[in-house]
Amino acid sequence: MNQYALDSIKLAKNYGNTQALKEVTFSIKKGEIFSLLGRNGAGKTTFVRIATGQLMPTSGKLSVAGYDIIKEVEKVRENIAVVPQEARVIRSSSACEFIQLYLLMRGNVGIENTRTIALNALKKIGLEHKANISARQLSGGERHKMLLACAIASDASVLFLDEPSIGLDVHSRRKLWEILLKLKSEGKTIVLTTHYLDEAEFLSDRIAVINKGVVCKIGSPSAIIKDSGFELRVDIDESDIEKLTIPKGVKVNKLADKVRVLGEEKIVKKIVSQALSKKLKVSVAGPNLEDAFLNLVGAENEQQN
Amino acid sequence: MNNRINKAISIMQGAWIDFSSTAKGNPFFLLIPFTYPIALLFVMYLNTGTRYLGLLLVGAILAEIINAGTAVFSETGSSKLFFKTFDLYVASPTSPFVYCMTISASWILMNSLAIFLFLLLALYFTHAGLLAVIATILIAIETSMVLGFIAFSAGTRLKTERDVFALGTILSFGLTLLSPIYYPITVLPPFVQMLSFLFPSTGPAILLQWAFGILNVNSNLVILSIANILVYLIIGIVAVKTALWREE
Repeated sequence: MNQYALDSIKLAKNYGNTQALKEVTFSIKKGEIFSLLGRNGAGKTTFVRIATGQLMPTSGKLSVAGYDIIKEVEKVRENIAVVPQEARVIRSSSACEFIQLYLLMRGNVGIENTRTIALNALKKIGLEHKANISARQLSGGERHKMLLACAIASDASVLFLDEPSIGLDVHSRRKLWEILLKLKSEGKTIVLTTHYLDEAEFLSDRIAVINKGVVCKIGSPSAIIKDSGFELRVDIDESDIEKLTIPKGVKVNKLADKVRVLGEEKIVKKIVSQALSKKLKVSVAGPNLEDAFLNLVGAENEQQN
Repeated sequence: MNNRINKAISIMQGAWIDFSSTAKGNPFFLLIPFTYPIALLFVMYLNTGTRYLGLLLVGAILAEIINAGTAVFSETGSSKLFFKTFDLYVASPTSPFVYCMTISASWILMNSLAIFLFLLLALYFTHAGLLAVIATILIAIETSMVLGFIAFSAGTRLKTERDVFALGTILSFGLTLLSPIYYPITVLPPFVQMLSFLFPSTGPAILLQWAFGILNVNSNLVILSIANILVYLIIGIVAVKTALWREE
């Protein structure tokens, strides 16, 4: 039995002369939460659109839920659900009716049956009290949750979520994380695109970093952080950085009015000692996924010492 | 067989949910279909009395059926380019046929009050009988389906949001005014009569006018009308099968 929920082999997509995806190869195991990270235009959405049967690839092979995305796209679609990033409500239907319509179009039968499923899905995401309110009156975050409820109600085995926490407040994000972990525990495979690196680090079993259409790194969040080679980081006020001698072999990134220096522990500790001896304010911490990500795809205003 | 029956039930139930939620949310939607035909009827009544009311009412019935079909164009285009709910359905087991039929049926329900009232008035003014009622039902099913298929397929090919509104209006204009909906085809010069058969609404219009006893049709017109309906039925099926459901 196929152990992969998704298996991509040399998948490529060209738009005219532009290569949006270049021979993308990786697999996602069943039951994983897998995140696709990358800058805007990196190719994440193109990959998701191909994997969900919305877009034809130019070349390569891709199977989802064990079915070929070109030859068996109907079978693929039976096993997936997608939560698009931008979808808005077209009519004045209630949240419950919106999900019911989605389920009926998917092939579920019965108004009462779909209502029960829709209400259960809304309950799972904590929106049951808004089931009968016009979806247009829901906040942006609530509407996004409603789309997630559609995916939950579908009972698909592979869920594709395109930036699911965009527009959500902190509490709603945490609630969303709980829901996604619950879905994982039920055996669902979740493919996530997100710009929130803390979210990817917290939720993902594995991550693929896509840059300019190429998968430049794949692994667990901790492995990606470890592979970055950074052991420690220190944040220093931009105005103080000239007072310090920054040794070679560290990475220096500008962050608003701060400068972040990343590198091996012993080198960073030397910088910290210098700063403390000059009574400068510093903040020291271990590297996180954001540091590793910026190292992989390149940060604005970065310089290599 | 069971699968097909379930699919048909799901389509009807989906259409009902879509229609009823819209009607509950904004009852004015039910009145919009009346506006243009009533304006036309009013102006004609002031100028010619009740003489052409039967013809205009039959035209109004067909115009509502046509508008229900062309609304699929705007709805598909706007859900793809503006509301972005289209992706939700493409990335699901929903087939283009089910999506298109659900929206078409929903719009027919939306216009059904107007169709029903215009039908009653048309029967009153033309003294038509059961044949007219049956013809109306059959033509409503065929025309809304065919136009829905073609409009859906065209809607999936739209590139910009502006095209949704501009082309939707032009489409309705062409089908309800350039095609002989509100007037008998026989008033047109012979060459223009032939050209009018390029519109999918011409065949249904002639047969409906004949069923209401408004138009005396010769066998040539009947054959052309049936041919027009059959050709567009094939075009509609091909159109829905070649819709841009998955982009290249």
